[in-house]
Amino acid sequence: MDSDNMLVDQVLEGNVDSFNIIINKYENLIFKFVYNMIRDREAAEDLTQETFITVYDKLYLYKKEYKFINWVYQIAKNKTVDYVRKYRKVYEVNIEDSNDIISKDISPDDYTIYRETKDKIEKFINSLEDTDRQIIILKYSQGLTFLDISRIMNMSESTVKRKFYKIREDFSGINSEKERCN
Amino acid sequence: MDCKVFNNRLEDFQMGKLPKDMETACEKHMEKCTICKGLYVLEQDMNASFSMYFDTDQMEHHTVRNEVMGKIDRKRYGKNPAKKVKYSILADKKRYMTAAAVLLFIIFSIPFIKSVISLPFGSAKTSASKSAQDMANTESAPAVKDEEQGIKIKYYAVSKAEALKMINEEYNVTKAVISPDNKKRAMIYGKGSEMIEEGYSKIVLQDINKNQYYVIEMNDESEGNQLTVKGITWRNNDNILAIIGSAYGMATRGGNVYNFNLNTRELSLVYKTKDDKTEVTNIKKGDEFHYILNINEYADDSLMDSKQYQENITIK
Repeated sequence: MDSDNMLVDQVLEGNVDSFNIIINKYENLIFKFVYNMIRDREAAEDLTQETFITVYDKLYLYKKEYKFINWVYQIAKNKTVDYVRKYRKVYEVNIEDSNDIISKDISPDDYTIYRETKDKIEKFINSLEDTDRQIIILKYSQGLTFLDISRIMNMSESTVKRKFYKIREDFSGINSEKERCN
Repeated sequence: MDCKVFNNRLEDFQMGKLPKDMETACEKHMEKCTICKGLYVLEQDMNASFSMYFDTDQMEHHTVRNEVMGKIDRKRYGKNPAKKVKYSILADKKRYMTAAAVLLFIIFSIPFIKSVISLPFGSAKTSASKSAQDMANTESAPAVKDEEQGIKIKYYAVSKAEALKMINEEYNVTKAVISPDNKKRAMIYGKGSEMIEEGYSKIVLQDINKNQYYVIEMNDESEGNQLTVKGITWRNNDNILAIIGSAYGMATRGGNVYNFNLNTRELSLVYKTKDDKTEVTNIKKGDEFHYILNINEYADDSLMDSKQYQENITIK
């Protein structure tokens, strides 16, 4: 598979098809990330599109010492934050929209449990600050390492870890220091 | 394995990052410790819940590829060297701007630094680090040569003893003129009121606060000209107006008016008389930019009869 840096070089040499490969490779990841930030499918598609246009326009600014996808995540994150600010869109989950996600084969009991869990998480996610929400999304939705998250969020790895564990403690109500047995 | 070790390894255990033996040890510990087992289950549930919540794998969405490819400027990048240079500059814009700013700063600083380092009145550091004695006899190179008149400038420090020797020749030195800020005084050595013999003169300049002395010579010693300073007045704290005229001969008493800048050493003509029979004999400061010139105009080439009058000029 073409490495990202090679593809970037090819685009900068004028080979537009290589950018097509880049989009193909990362479109789903970026959509997933943006969607989880705003929970609006159409807007997420628009923002994904805008993200890749910006990636293309600013490609000459990309520094190869960083991971390419982290740079794309950064652009997507900034676009999404701008979108939320611009339209004052409060992060609210659209239940009907979310229903599409689960399998239609799920049993009524499981669906009830699913809805309960989902409601609990939604409530919790809505209460989080932007930065904390982004960390949780990058960790659970994208499965990124703390180091990658720290690069995208422009903060130290230890800060990301600390914030991540704090968020989980707040969610579960378990204080790992106090309640774990020693 | 005890609970403490188990807790420390829990994250890695859940993520499947532990080596096999450690993983087995964790599993065995959970069989013995119900609290750790409960914690493990709770965290597993939490991870599963979040992962499920953020899972969008089954969500259908439109590909944005066609829209993006349709909207981008396909000719934006290319092998053209001009484009490569353009984007290379744009990519390092900050670095280039910083370098340009530093370069500009250096370029604009050079004249200032030069004046601070080399001019006697430009630099406290120079004055402090070099005593008047050290500076004495270090004749500075002629900085400015008036092309029209051939007047050469010499501006150098002299020792206090040397300066006082000149100043104490009362008959040979003019009355001192003090700068507006009272920090400097200047007099002409060689043009005292009782001087009988004419010749080239020198301006003796004293930095009153630092008690340092300097000499400024403004002479044109070329054959046929023989010009020297015949009168001075302060224009401001950094500029002296000097009347420069014939060094020899008792008949003429004045000349043209020049401005000498103590910092830049520039000598520039500010007033030229209408002909050789006319000369400025004295200059007096009026208000801010106005000066009153005493002019002596001879009737003919014999330089016997003359009339005197005043003329007002503006120097900005």
